Amino acid sequence: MRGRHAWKGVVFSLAALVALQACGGGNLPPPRWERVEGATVSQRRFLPEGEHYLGRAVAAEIIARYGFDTDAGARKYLALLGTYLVYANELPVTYRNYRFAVLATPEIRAFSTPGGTVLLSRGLLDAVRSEEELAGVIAHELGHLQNKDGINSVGRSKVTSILTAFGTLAASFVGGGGLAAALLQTFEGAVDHAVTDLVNKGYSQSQELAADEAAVRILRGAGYKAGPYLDFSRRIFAEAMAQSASPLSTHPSSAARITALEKSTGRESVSGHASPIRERRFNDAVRTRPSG
Amino acid sequence: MSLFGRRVAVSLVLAVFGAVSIAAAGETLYVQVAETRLRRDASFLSPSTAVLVFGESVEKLSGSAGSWFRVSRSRGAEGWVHASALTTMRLVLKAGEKDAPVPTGRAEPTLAGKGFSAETEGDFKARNPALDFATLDTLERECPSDDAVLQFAREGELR
Repeated sequence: MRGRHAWKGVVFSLAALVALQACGGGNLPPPRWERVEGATVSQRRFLPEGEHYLGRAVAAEIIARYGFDTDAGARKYLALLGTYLVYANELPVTYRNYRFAVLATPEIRAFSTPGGTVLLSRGLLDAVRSEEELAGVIAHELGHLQNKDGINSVGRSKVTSILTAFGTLAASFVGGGGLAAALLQTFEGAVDHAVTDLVNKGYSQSQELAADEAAVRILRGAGYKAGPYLDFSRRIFAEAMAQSASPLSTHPSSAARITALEKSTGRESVSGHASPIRERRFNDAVRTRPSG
Repeated sequence: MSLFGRRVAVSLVLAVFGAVSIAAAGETLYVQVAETRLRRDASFLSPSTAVLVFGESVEKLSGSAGSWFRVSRSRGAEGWVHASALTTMRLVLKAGEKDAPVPTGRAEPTLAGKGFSAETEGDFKARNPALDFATLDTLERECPSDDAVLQFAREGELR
């Protein structure tokens, strides 16, 4: 499964295209929350509700592109591990909790979308060797989310200014129905941009380094050693460099990330007592495929 | 990213999270997520004593610790809530119409009442019927319970 093509997408970028939320409108049953007062437009954009709905649409697009792995056992295990790690990160509460799923592709990919959807590919699950390594990968994704890396991406896209312009124009020229249509158009543009950015471009080196730093903190806060994540990173970067087709084979950030991880982990030993229960549940959930 | 861009991004983050982190004791805060739990102690693994819903107001009490705020509800129950679930921004209940009339010539109030929401998603789904939002609904329902997460940690000798 880990063939030449599997590395085409090895980029821990993932995205937290957080964003643009003009906030306010709620989806709760009546009575309905309609308005936020006492805030600047910038504040409102980044409230959790809008981020949640943008992230759901981005996740739906990514699932449509790669497919959804229906292995419920793996998904349940990811949800337990991921939620436990969430408790150790700096952004533990999102609009509707965090969600974890497996993408049905042999490519090694990981994505995190605004609002807290973390998507890991089957190829990635095949590549990790232990619960500790998998925890590191998830912690890296949570690092992107807590660092709000998506905001940077949105900033680069100028969607933020588009949204502001939209608000001005909409308020001047359209009524309620027209405003909803204009908002949908803005939403679609933001989703398209986010998907393109996540799937094709990835994050900057500084964002990846920061997410790695966050991952080490999250792992330690949750009681995991960070050494296995360093091991995993070394392994996949080395394999990627052996593959000329891999985008990482000539990517300067790979070596820099390993060097930084070595420093932040203190080259922590990965040997020593390994919990047999962790090993067993990892193998049961990730290595064992459901029949049929 | 340019230094300016980075500063802007950081400022935006601080605009949301910084505001609540410096909230003073006695200040009213509002739940900004669909729901969150009031807990007996300042930990996600502490027992939940109540569920707070989007828009509900709480009063910040003294004795808050780090990212956890000790708060009281209007009906008097006290407990701990993580700061990321709260905002200093006032959420005003407006019973009502799907598309409430909007003022003209005032961009910000318009945006205030019209953000990305379930309605936006509904419109998006109608134009993209091939997208599988039902799977995302399933994932949200599969969120593990506190007890299950605690058991996972204990069994794995993590706590």
